[in-house]
Amino acid sequence: MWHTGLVDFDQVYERFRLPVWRLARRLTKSEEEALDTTQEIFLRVWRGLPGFRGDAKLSTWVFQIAWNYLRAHRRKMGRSLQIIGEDMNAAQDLVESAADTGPDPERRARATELLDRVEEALETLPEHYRVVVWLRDGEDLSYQEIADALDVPIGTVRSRLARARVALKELVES
Amino acid sequence: MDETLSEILSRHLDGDLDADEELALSARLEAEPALIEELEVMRRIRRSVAALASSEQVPRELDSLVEPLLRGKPEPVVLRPWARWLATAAAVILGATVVIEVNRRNPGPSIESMAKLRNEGHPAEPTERFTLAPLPTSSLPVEQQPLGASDRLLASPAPEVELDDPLPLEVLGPLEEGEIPTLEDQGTKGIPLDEVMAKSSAVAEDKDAKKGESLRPAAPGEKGDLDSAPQREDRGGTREAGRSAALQSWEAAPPMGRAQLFVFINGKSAWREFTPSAICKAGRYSVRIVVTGGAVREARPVGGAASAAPSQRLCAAGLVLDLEIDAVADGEYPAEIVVEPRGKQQSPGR
Repeated sequence: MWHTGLVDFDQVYERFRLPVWRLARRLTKSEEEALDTTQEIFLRVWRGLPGFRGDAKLSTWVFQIAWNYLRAHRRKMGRSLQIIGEDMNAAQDLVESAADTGPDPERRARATELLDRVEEALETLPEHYRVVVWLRDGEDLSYQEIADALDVPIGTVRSRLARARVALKELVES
Repeated sequence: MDETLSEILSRHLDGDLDADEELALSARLEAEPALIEELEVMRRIRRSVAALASSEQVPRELDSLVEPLLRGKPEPVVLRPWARWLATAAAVILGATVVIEVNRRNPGPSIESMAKLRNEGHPAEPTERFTLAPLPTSSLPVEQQPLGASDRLLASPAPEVELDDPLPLEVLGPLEEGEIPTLEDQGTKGIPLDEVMAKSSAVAEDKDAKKGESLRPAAPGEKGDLDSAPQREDRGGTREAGRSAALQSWEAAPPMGRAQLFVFINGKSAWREFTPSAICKAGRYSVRIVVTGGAVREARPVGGAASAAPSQRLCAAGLVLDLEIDAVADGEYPAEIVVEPRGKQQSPGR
Protein backbone atom coordinates (compact mmCIF):
# COMPACT_ATOMS: atom_id res chain seq x y z
CA MET A 1 0.00 0.00 0.00
CA TRP A 2 1.41 3.33 -0.96
CA HIS A 3 -0.37 5.48 1.47
CA THR A 4 -0.10 5.27 5.18
CA GLY A 5 -2.68 7.86 6.12
CA LEU A 6 -5.82 7.21 8.05
CA VAL A 7 -7.72 5.94 5.04
CA ASP A 8 -6.70 3.84 2.09
CA PHE A 9 -7.26 5.22 -1.34
CA ASP A 10 -9.24 2.24 -2.55
CA GLN A 11 -11.72 2.76 0.26
CA VAL A 12 -12.06 6.42 -0.59
CA TYR A 13 -12.47 5.68 -4.26
CA GLU A 14 -15.09 3.05 -3.64
CA ARG A 15 -17.06 5.36 -1.42
CA PHE A 16 -16.79 8.55 -3.44
CA ARG A 17 -16.47 7.49 -7.04
CA LEU A 18 -20.15 7.97 -7.67
CA PRO A 19 -20.66 11.24 -5.78
CA VAL A 20 -17.56 12.80 -7.31
CA TRP A 21 -18.53 11.62 -10.74
CA ARG A 22 -22.02 13.01 -10.29
CA LEU A 23 -20.73 16.39 -9.19
CA ALA A 24 -18.27 16.54 -12.06
CA ARG A 25 -20.97 15.57 -14.48
CA ARG A 26 -23.30 18.24 -13.15
CA LEU A 27 -20.66 20.90 -13.43
CA THR A 28 -18.96 20.08 -16.68
CA LYS A 29 -19.97 20.23 -20.26
CA SER A 30 -19.70 16.68 -21.40
CA GLU A 31 -19.31 13.16 -20.17
CA GLU A 32 -15.78 13.08 -21.50
CA GLU A 33 -14.91 16.20 -19.60
CA ALA A 34 -16.54 14.80 -16.50
CA LEU A 35 -14.45 11.69 -16.89
CA ASP A 36 -11.26 13.68 -17.16
CA THR A 37 -12.07 15.92 -14.24
CA THR A 38 -13.15 13.02 -12.06
CA GLN A 39 -9.89 11.26 -12.74
CA GLU A 40 -7.94 14.38 -11.92
CA ILE A 41 -9.91 14.85 -8.73
CA PHE A 42 -9.07 11.34 -7.61
CA LEU A 43 -5.46 11.91 -8.50
CA ARG A 44 -5.51 14.83 -6.10
CA VAL A 45 -7.26 12.74 -3.49
CA TRP A 46 -4.64 10.06 -3.99
CA ARG A 47 -1.85 12.52 -3.52
CA GLY A 48 -3.40 14.28 -0.56
CA LEU A 49 -4.53 11.19 1.28
CA PRO A 50 -1.27 10.56 3.14
CA GLY A 51 -1.66 13.99 4.66
CA PHE A 52 -5.29 13.57 5.57
CA ARG A 53 -5.42 13.54 9.34
CA GLY A 54 -9.12 13.36 9.85
CA ASP A 55 -9.41 16.96 10.97
CA ALA A 56 -12.33 17.29 8.59
CA LYS A 57 -14.87 14.70 7.58
CA LEU A 58 -13.63 12.60 4.74
CA SER A 59 -16.64 13.52 2.63
CA THR A 60 -16.03 17.20 3.22
CA TRP A 61 -12.38 16.84 2.32
CA VAL A 62 -13.12 14.96 -0.88
CA PHE A 63 -15.83 17.35 -1.98
CA GLN A 64 -13.57 20.27 -1.17
CA ILE A 65 -10.91 18.87 -3.47
CA ALA A 66 -13.53 18.19 -6.11
CA TRP A 67 -15.03 21.65 -5.92
CA ASN A 68 -11.66 23.37 -5.95
CA TYR A 69 -10.54 21.38 -8.92
CA LEU A 70 -13.76 21.88 -10.85
CA ARG A 71 -13.61 25.61 -10.25
CA ALA A 72 -10.00 25.72 -11.39
CA HIS A 73 -10.91 23.63 -14.38
CA ARG A 74 -13.64 26.06 -15.29
CA ARG A 75 -11.23 28.97 -15.07
CA LYS A 76 -8.74 27.12 -17.18
CA MET A 77 -11.36 26.40 -19.78
CA GLY A 78 -12.31 30.06 -19.73
CA ARG A 79 -15.98 29.52 -19.32
CA SER A 80 -18.61 28.73 -16.82
CA LEU A 81 -19.17 25.15 -15.96
CA GLN A 82 -22.21 23.68 -17.50
CA ILE A 83 -24.12 20.56 -16.89
CA ILE A 84 -25.29 17.99 -19.25
CA GLY A 85 -28.59 16.31 -19.56
CA GLU A 86 -28.29 12.69 -20.53
CA ASP A 87 -29.36 9.39 -19.07
CA MET A 88 -32.73 10.82 -18.30
CA ASN A 89 -34.57 7.56 -18.50
CA ALA A 90 -33.27 6.15 -15.27
CA ALA A 91 -33.97 9.41 -13.47
CA GLN A 92 -37.43 9.56 -14.90
CA ASP A 93 -38.12 6.07 -13.69
CA LEU A 94 -37.05 7.05 -10.22
CA VAL A 95 -39.19 10.14 -10.13
CA GLU A 96 -42.12 8.27 -11.53
CA SER A 97 -41.80 5.54 -9.00
CA ALA A 98 -41.60 8.13 -6.24
CA ALA A 99 -44.38 10.33 -7.46
CA ASP A 100 -46.67 7.81 -9.01
CA THR A 101 -48.09 4.81 -7.26
CA GLY A 102 -50.34 3.73 -10.04
CA PRO A 103 -50.32 3.29 -13.79
CA ASP A 104 -51.68 6.78 -14.36
CA PRO A 105 -50.18 7.93 -17.67
CA GLU A 106 -50.98 11.53 -16.96
CA ARG A 107 -49.16 11.52 -13.66
CA ARG A 108 -46.24 9.70 -15.18
CA ALA A 109 -46.08 12.27 -17.91
CA ARG A 110 -46.17 15.09 -15.37
CA ALA A 111 -43.38 13.51 -13.37
CA THR A 112 -41.30 13.07 -16.48
CA GLU A 113 -41.93 16.62 -17.54
CA LEU A 114 -40.97 17.92 -14.12
CA LEU A 115 -37.72 16.00 -14.26
CA ASP A 116 -36.95 17.41 -17.68
CA ARG A 117 -37.61 20.90 -16.44
CA VAL A 118 -35.53 20.46 -13.32
CA GLU A 119 -32.69 19.15 -15.44
CA GLU A 120 -32.93 22.12 -17.76
CA ALA A 121 -33.29 24.56 -14.91
CA LEU A 122 -30.20 23.17 -13.24
CA GLU A 123 -28.29 23.79 -16.42
CA THR A 124 -29.10 27.46 -16.37
CA LEU A 125 -28.71 27.96 -12.64
CA PRO A 126 -25.60 29.96 -11.72
CA GLU A 127 -22.78 27.71 -10.65
CA HIS A 128 -22.64 28.85 -7.02
CA TYR A 129 -26.33 28.08 -6.69
CA ARG A 130 -26.11 24.83 -8.61
CA VAL A 131 -23.39 23.41 -6.44
CA VAL A 132 -25.22 24.02 -3.15
CA VAL A 133 -28.42 22.55 -4.52
CA TRP A 134 -26.56 19.55 -5.82
CA LEU A 135 -24.56 18.92 -2.67
CA ARG A 136 -27.65 19.29 -0.49
CA ASP A 137 -30.38 17.65 -2.54
CA GLY A 138 -28.31 15.43 -4.77
CA GLU A 139 -25.62 14.31 -2.35
CA ASP A 140 -27.48 14.87 0.91
CA LEU A 141 -24.64 16.74 2.57
CA SER A 142 -25.47 18.69 5.69
CA TYR A 143 -25.28 22.46 5.77
CA GLN A 144 -22.08 22.26 7.75
CA GLU A 145 -20.52 19.79 5.34
CA ILE A 146 -21.40 22.02 2.42
CA ALA A 147 -20.00 25.03 4.22
CA ASP A 148 -16.75 23.19 4.84
CA ALA A 149 -16.52 21.84 1.32
CA LEU A 150 -17.14 25.21 -0.29
CA ASP A 151 -15.23 27.11 2.38
CA VAL A 152 -18.07 29.49 3.10
CA PRO A 153 -19.93 30.26 6.36
CA ILE A 154 -22.90 28.08 7.14
CA GLY A 155 -25.15 31.13 7.01
CA THR A 156 -24.08 31.64 3.43
CA VAL A 157 -25.04 28.06 2.66
CA ARG A 158 -28.50 28.63 4.13
CA SER A 159 -29.15 31.83 2.25
CA ARG A 160 -27.56 30.63 -0.98
CA LEU A 161 -29.54 27.40 -0.89
CA ALA A 162 -32.78 29.30 -0.30
CA ARG A 163 -32.09 31.62 -3.21
CA ALA A 164 -31.05 28.71 -5.38
CA ARG A 165 -34.27 26.86 -4.66
CA VAL A 166 -36.37 29.89 -5.41
CA ALA A 167 -34.45 30.44 -8.63
CA LEU A 168 -34.80 26.80 -9.55
CA LYS A 169 -38.51 26.90 -8.88
CA GLU A 170 -38.95 29.99 -11.01
CA LEU A 171 -36.99 28.40 -13.82
CA VAL A 172 -39.01 25.21 -13.62
CA GLU A 173 -42.26 27.12 -13.64
CA SER A 174 -41.28 29.47 -16.41
CA MET B 1 -41.57 35.85 -1.64
CA ASP B 2 -39.08 37.70 0.51
CA GLU B 3 -35.68 36.20 1.24
CA THR B 4 -36.35 35.60 4.89
CA LEU B 5 -39.42 33.55 4.11
CA SER B 6 -37.74 31.62 1.33
CA GLU B 7 -34.90 30.76 3.67
CA ILE B 8 -37.37 29.61 6.30
CA LEU B 9 -39.10 27.36 3.76
CA SER B 10 -35.81 26.06 2.49
CA ARG B 11 -34.57 25.26 5.96
CA HIS B 12 -37.92 23.65 6.77
CA LEU B 13 -37.43 21.28 3.83
CA ASP B 14 -34.07 20.30 5.26
CA GLY B 15 -35.29 19.98 8.84
CA ASP B 16 -33.00 22.82 9.88
CA LEU B 17 -35.56 24.87 11.79
CA ASP B 18 -35.67 24.75 15.55
CA ALA B 19 -38.93 24.06 17.38
CA ASP B 20 -39.90 27.70 17.74
CA GLU B 21 -39.25 28.41 14.10
CA GLU B 22 -41.26 25.36 13.07
CA LEU B 23 -44.12 26.52 15.23
CA ALA B 24 -44.05 29.97 13.70
CA LEU B 25 -43.96 28.51 10.20
CA SER B 26 -46.91 26.23 10.92
CA ALA B 27 -48.93 29.22 12.02
CA ARG B 28 -47.98 31.12 8.92
CA LEU B 29 -48.84 28.19 6.65
CA GLU B 30 -52.26 28.03 8.22
CA ALA B 31 -52.78 31.69 7.58
CA GLU B 32 -51.38 31.59 4.04
CA PRO B 33 -52.43 28.40 2.25
CA ALA B 34 -50.64 29.55 -0.90
CA LEU B 35 -47.40 28.98 0.93
CA ILE B 36 -48.26 25.31 1.27
CA GLU B 37 -48.35 25.00 -2.49
CA GLU B 38 -45.02 26.86 -2.75
CA LEU B 39 -43.54 24.46 -0.29
CA GLU B 40 -44.89 21.46 -2.15
CA VAL B 41 -43.41 22.64 -5.45
CA MET B 42 -40.05 23.13 -3.78
CA ARG B 43 -40.31 19.68 -2.26
CA ARG B 44 -41.05 18.08 -5.63
CA ILE B 45 -38.13 19.86 -7.21
CA ARG B 46 -35.92 18.72 -4.37
CA ARG B 47 -37.02 15.13 -4.97
CA SER B 48 -36.31 15.54 -8.65
CA VAL B 49 -32.75 16.66 -7.97
CA ALA B 50 -32.29 13.67 -5.69
CA ALA B 51 -33.70 11.43 -8.41
CA LEU B 52 -31.29 12.84 -10.94
CA ALA B 53 -28.44 12.07 -8.58
CA SER B 54 -29.68 8.56 -7.90
CA SER B 55 -29.94 7.83 -11.58
CA GLU B 56 -26.29 8.56 -12.26
CA GLN B 57 -23.95 5.67 -12.78
CA VAL B 58 -20.21 5.78 -12.93
CA PRO B 59 -18.95 4.94 -16.40
CA ARG B 60 -16.75 1.90 -16.56
CA GLU B 61 -14.02 3.96 -18.14
CA LEU B 62 -13.47 5.79 -14.88
CA ASP B 63 -12.49 2.62 -13.08
CA SER B 64 -9.96 1.76 -15.72
CA LEU B 65 -8.54 5.29 -15.54
CA VAL B 66 -8.22 5.27 -11.78
CA GLU B 67 -7.14 1.64 -11.53
CA PRO B 68 -3.40 2.48 -11.64
CA LEU B 69 -3.84 4.66 -8.62
CA LEU B 70 -5.47 1.76 -6.84
CA ARG B 71 -2.58 -0.46 -7.76
CA GLY B 72 -0.18 2.30 -6.90
CA LYS B 73 2.15 1.69 -9.82
CA PRO B 74 2.76 3.89 -12.79
CA GLU B 75 2.70 2.37 -16.20
CA PRO B 76 4.17 3.66 -19.39
CA VAL B 77 1.92 5.54 -21.70
CA VAL B 78 2.14 5.35 -25.42
CA LEU B 79 1.37 8.67 -26.96
CA ARG B 80 -1.01 9.08 -29.80
CA PRO B 81 0.42 10.33 -33.06
CA TRP B 82 -0.80 13.88 -32.62
CA ALA B 83 0.79 14.00 -29.20
CA ARG B 84 4.11 12.83 -30.59
CA TRP B 85 3.98 15.63 -33.08
CA LEU B 86 3.25 18.11 -30.34
CA ALA B 87 6.08 16.73 -28.25
CA THR B 88 8.50 17.66 -30.96
CA ALA B 89 7.04 21.13 -31.15
CA ALA B 90 7.50 21.53 -27.41
CA ALA B 91 11.24 21.56 -27.72
CA VAL B 92 11.23 25.22 -28.66
CA ILE B 93 9.72 26.35 -25.41
CA LEU B 94 12.07 27.28 -22.61
CA GLY B 95 11.53 27.13 -18.87
CA ALA B 96 10.27 30.07 -16.92
CA THR B 97 10.21 30.97 -13.31
CA VAL B 98 7.42 30.99 -10.90
CA VAL B 99 7.79 31.95 -7.33
CA ILE B 100 5.32 30.79 -4.81
CA GLU B 101 5.32 30.70 -1.13
CA VAL B 102 4.19 27.74 0.81
CA ASN B 103 4.13 29.83 3.91
CA ARG B 104 2.01 32.73 2.81
CA ARG B 105 3.35 34.92 5.55
CA ASN B 106 6.72 34.99 3.91
CA PRO B 107 6.81 36.25 0.38
CA GLY B 108 9.57 34.87 -1.72
CA PRO B 109 11.85 36.54 -4.17
CA SER B 110 10.46 37.79 -7.39
CA ILE B 111 11.12 36.33 -10.77
CA GLU B 112 13.06 39.45 -11.59
CA SER B 113 15.24 39.16 -8.50
CA MET B 114 16.00 35.54 -9.26
CA ALA B 115 16.94 36.38 -12.80
CA LYS B 116 19.10 39.23 -11.50
CA LEU B 117 20.87 36.89 -9.11
CA ARG B 118 21.61 34.44 -11.83
CA ASN B 119 23.06 37.21 -13.90
CA GLU B 120 25.20 38.18 -10.93
CA GLY B 121 26.86 34.82 -10.86
CA HIS B 122 24.84 32.74 -8.46
CA PRO B 123 23.68 29.92 -10.64
CA ALA B 124 21.55 27.09 -9.42
CA GLU B 125 23.42 24.04 -8.22
CA PRO B 126 21.39 21.09 -9.32
CA THR B 127 21.66 18.03 -7.16
CA GLU B 128 19.61 15.71 -9.27
CA ARG B 129 18.41 15.53 -12.81
CA PHE B 130 15.56 13.35 -13.74
CA THR B 131 12.99 12.82 -16.35
CA LEU B 132 9.33 13.19 -15.63
CA ALA B 133 7.52 9.92 -15.93
CA PRO B 134 3.96 9.47 -17.02
CA LEU B 135 1.19 9.44 -14.54
CA PRO B 136 -0.13 6.01 -13.72
CA THR B 137 -2.67 5.15 -16.30
CA SER B 138 -4.76 2.33 -17.50
CA SER B 139 -3.36 -1.09 -18.23
CA LEU B 140 -5.60 -1.29 -21.23
CA PRO B 141 -3.97 -1.17 -24.64
CA VAL B 142 -3.82 2.40 -25.76
CA GLU B 143 -6.32 1.91 -28.52
CA GLN B 144 -8.82 0.65 -25.95
CA GLN B 145 -8.25 3.40 -23.45
CA PRO B 146 -11.00 5.94 -23.16
CA LEU B 147 -10.22 9.54 -23.70
CA GLY B 148 -9.14 10.92 -20.40
CA ALA B 149 -6.46 12.90 -18.75
CA SER B 150 -4.03 10.09 -18.22
CA ASP B 151 -3.89 8.91 -21.80
CA ARG B 152 -2.58 12.28 -22.78
CA LEU B 153 0.27 12.31 -20.39
CA LEU B 154 3.88 12.94 -20.72
CA ALA B 155 5.78 10.19 -22.41
CA SER B 156 7.79 9.55 -25.51
CA PRO B 157 11.39 10.58 -26.12
CA ALA B 158 12.61 13.74 -24.50
CA PRO B 159 12.94 16.72 -26.77
CA GLU B 160 16.44 17.83 -27.54
CA VAL B 161 16.60 20.79 -25.22
CA GLU B 162 19.66 22.31 -23.64
CA LEU B 163 19.58 22.92 -19.92
CA ASP B 164 22.21 25.61 -20.05
CA ASP B 165 20.18 28.59 -18.95
CA PRO B 166 16.87 27.57 -17.47
CA LEU B 167 15.12 29.87 -15.09
CA PRO B 168 14.51 28.31 -11.74
CA LEU B 169 11.26 27.78 -9.94
CA GLU B 170 11.52 28.56 -6.29
CA VAL B 171 9.24 27.34 -3.56
CA LEU B 172 9.75 28.63 -0.06
CA GLY B 173 8.95 26.04 2.51
CA PRO B 174 6.89 26.85 5.57
CA LEU B 175 7.46 26.77 9.21
CA GLU B 176 5.13 27.20 12.06
CA GLU B 177 5.22 30.63 13.54
CA GLY B 178 7.96 31.05 16.09
CA GLU B 179 10.20 28.30 14.85
CA ILE B 180 12.38 30.67 12.91
CA PRO B 181 13.64 33.96 14.30
CA THR B 182 12.35 36.96 12.52
CA LEU B 183 14.67 39.30 10.78
CA GLU B 184 14.05 41.85 13.48
CA ASP B 185 15.28 39.31 16.01
CA GLN B 186 18.44 39.06 14.06
CA GLY B 187 18.92 42.79 14.23
CA THR B 188 18.70 43.32 10.53
CA LYS B 189 16.11 44.48 8.12
CA GLY B 190 16.83 41.63 5.83
CA ILE B 191 19.42 39.28 4.51
CA PRO B 192 20.64 40.25 1.09
CA LEU B 193 19.37 37.68 -1.33
CA ASP B 194 22.71 37.30 -3.04
CA GLU B 195 24.33 36.57 0.32
CA VAL B 196 21.83 33.87 1.06
CA MET B 197 22.26 32.40 -2.34
CA ALA B 198 26.00 32.43 -1.96
CA LYS B 199 25.69 30.62 1.33
CA SER B 200 23.22 28.22 -0.18
CA SER B 201 25.67 27.50 -2.93
CA ALA B 202 28.23 26.74 -0.28
CA VAL B 203 25.79 24.37 1.31
CA ALA B 204 25.24 22.79 -2.05
CA GLU B 205 28.97 22.28 -2.40
CA ASP B 206 29.02 20.72 1.01
CA LYS B 207 26.21 18.48 -0.14
CA ASP B 208 28.25 17.43 -3.12
CA ALA B 209 31.07 16.48 -0.82
CA LYS B 210 28.74 14.27 1.10
CA LYS B 211 27.00 12.99 -1.96
CA GLY B 212 25.80 9.49 -1.49
CA GLU B 213 25.32 9.95 2.17
CA SER B 214 23.03 12.91 1.71
CA LEU B 215 20.90 11.23 -0.92
CA ARG B 216 19.35 8.93 1.58
CA PRO B 217 16.75 9.91 4.18
CA ALA B 218 18.11 10.72 7.59
CA ALA B 219 17.71 8.33 10.42
CA PRO B 220 15.88 9.71 13.42
CA GLY B 221 18.16 12.03 15.30
CA GLU B 222 20.80 12.01 12.63
CA LYS B 223 22.43 15.29 11.80
CA GLY B 224 21.69 16.30 8.27
CA ASP B 225 22.61 18.78 5.65
CA LEU B 226 20.32 21.42 6.96
CA ASP B 227 22.23 21.58 10.19
CA SER B 228 24.74 23.62 8.27
CA ALA B 229 22.10 25.98 7.00
CA PRO B 230 23.40 29.52 7.07
CA GLN B 231 20.22 30.96 8.43
CA ARG B 232 20.70 29.09 11.65
CA GLU B 233 23.64 31.22 12.65
CA ASP B 234 23.55 34.21 15.00
CA ARG B 235 20.37 33.55 16.82
CA GLY B 236 19.18 34.93 20.08
CA GLY B 237 19.15 32.59 23.08
CA THR B 238 15.42 32.49 23.61
CA ARG B 239 14.66 31.95 19.97
CA GLU B 240 17.39 29.39 19.73
CA ALA B 241 15.88 27.46 22.61
CA GLY B 242 12.51 27.39 20.92
CA ARG B 243 14.12 26.49 17.68
CA SER B 244 16.06 23.68 19.28
CA ALA B 245 12.92 22.31 20.83
CA ALA B 246 11.23 22.33 17.46
CA LEU B 247 14.18 20.64 15.85
CA GLN B 248 14.32 18.02 18.57
CA SER B 249 10.67 17.32 17.96
CA TRP B 250 11.33 16.82 14.30
CA GLU B 251 14.43 14.81 14.91
CA ALA B 252 12.47 12.50 17.15
CA ALA B 253 10.18 11.57 14.30
CA PRO B 254 11.32 13.10 11.05
CA PRO B 255 9.01 12.50 8.13
CA MET B 256 10.76 9.99 5.95
CA GLY B 257 10.44 8.78 2.46
CA ARG B 258 10.83 9.95 -1.03
CA ALA B 259 9.45 13.16 -2.33
CA GLN B 260 7.06 13.41 -5.20
CA LEU B 261 6.75 15.93 -7.93
CA PHE B 262 3.51 16.20 -9.81
CA VAL B 263 3.41 18.16 -12.96
CA PHE B 264 0.35 19.28 -14.80
CA ILE B 265 0.98 20.24 -18.32
CA ASN B 266 -1.90 21.67 -20.23
CA GLY B 267 -4.21 19.96 -17.85
CA LYS B 268 -2.41 16.65 -18.17
CA SER B 269 -0.51 15.06 -15.41
CA ALA B 270 2.79 13.44 -14.79
CA TRP B 271 4.61 12.59 -11.67
CA ARG B 272 7.98 11.60 -10.48
CA GLU B 273 9.43 10.42 -7.22
CA PHE B 274 12.76 11.76 -6.19
CA THR B 275 14.99 11.75 -3.19
CA PRO B 276 15.78 15.23 -1.98
CA SER B 277 19.32 15.63 -0.84
CA ALA B 278 18.30 17.78 2.09
CA ILE B 279 17.22 15.90 5.14
CA CYS B 280 13.92 16.78 6.66
CA LYS B 281 14.29 19.24 9.46
CA ALA B 282 12.29 22.19 10.57
CA GLY B 283 13.43 25.01 8.40
CA ARG B 284 12.68 26.99 5.33
CA TYR B 285 13.65 25.45 2.07
CA SER B 286 14.37 26.84 -1.26
CA VAL B 287 13.16 24.39 -3.83
CA ARG B 288 14.26 25.18 -7.31
CA ILE B 289 12.57 23.18 -9.99
CA VAL B 290 13.63 23.60 -13.52
CA VAL B 291 11.60 21.95 -16.20
CA THR B 292 13.16 22.59 -19.52
CA GLY B 293 10.84 22.72 -22.43
CA GLY B 294 7.93 24.22 -20.58
CA ALA B 295 6.88 27.51 -19.16
CA VAL B 296 6.14 26.92 -15.52
CA ARG B 297 3.02 28.87 -14.80
CA GLU B 298 2.16 27.84 -11.33
CA ALA B 299 3.52 25.76 -8.51
CA ARG B 300 1.91 25.06 -5.22
CA PRO B 301 1.95 22.57 -2.42
CA VAL B 302 -0.37 19.70 -3.05
CA GLY B 303 -3.86 19.79 -1.74
CA GLY B 304 -4.35 23.50 -1.28
CA ALA B 305 -6.75 24.36 1.44
CA ALA B 306 -7.89 20.79 1.60
CA SER B 307 -4.60 19.66 3.04
CA ALA B 308 -3.29 22.88 4.44
CA ALA B 309 -2.34 21.24 7.68
CA PRO B 310 0.16 18.77 6.26
CA SER B 311 1.47 21.44 3.95
CA GLN B 312 2.35 23.52 6.94
CA ARG B 313 4.69 20.76 7.99
CA LEU B 314 6.30 20.47 4.65
CA CYS B 315 9.85 19.31 4.75
CA ALA B 316 12.24 18.31 2.10
CA ALA B 317 11.82 14.61 2.55
CA GLY B 318 8.08 14.86 2.31
CA LEU B 319 8.06 17.40 -0.41
CA VAL B 320 5.12 17.15 -2.72
CA LEU B 321 4.61 19.83 -5.28
CA ASP B 322 2.27 20.60 -8.07
CA LEU B 323 3.48 22.35 -11.12
CA GLU B 324 1.25 23.62 -13.81
CA ILE B 325 2.93 24.19 -17.08
CA ASP B 326 1.22 25.84 -19.96
CA ALA B 327 1.90 25.83 -23.65
CA VAL B 328 3.75 22.58 -23.56
CA ALA B 329 3.03 19.49 -25.53
CA ASP B 330 3.20 15.95 -24.33
CA GLY B 331 6.67 14.59 -23.94
CA GLU B 332 9.34 13.85 -21.42
CA TYR B 333 11.21 16.82 -20.12
CA PRO B 334 14.56 16.91 -18.43
CA ALA B 335 14.19 18.60 -15.10
CA GLU B 336 16.14 19.18 -11.97
CA ILE B 337 15.19 19.73 -8.39
CA VAL B 338 17.30 21.35 -5.74
CA VAL B 339 16.26 21.50 -2.13
CA GLU B 340 18.24 23.88 0.01
CA PRO B 341 17.76 25.58 3.33
CA ARG B 342 16.85 29.21 3.18
CA GLY B 343 16.64 32.32 5.27
CA LYS B 344 13.58 34.39 5.75
CA GLN B 345 12.37 37.43 3.87
CA GLN B 346 15.48 37.85 1.88
CA SER B 347 13.82 39.77 -0.84
CA PRO B 348 11.23 42.49 -1.13
CA GLY B 349 8.78 39.87 -2.36
CA ARG B 350 6.96 39.14 -5.50
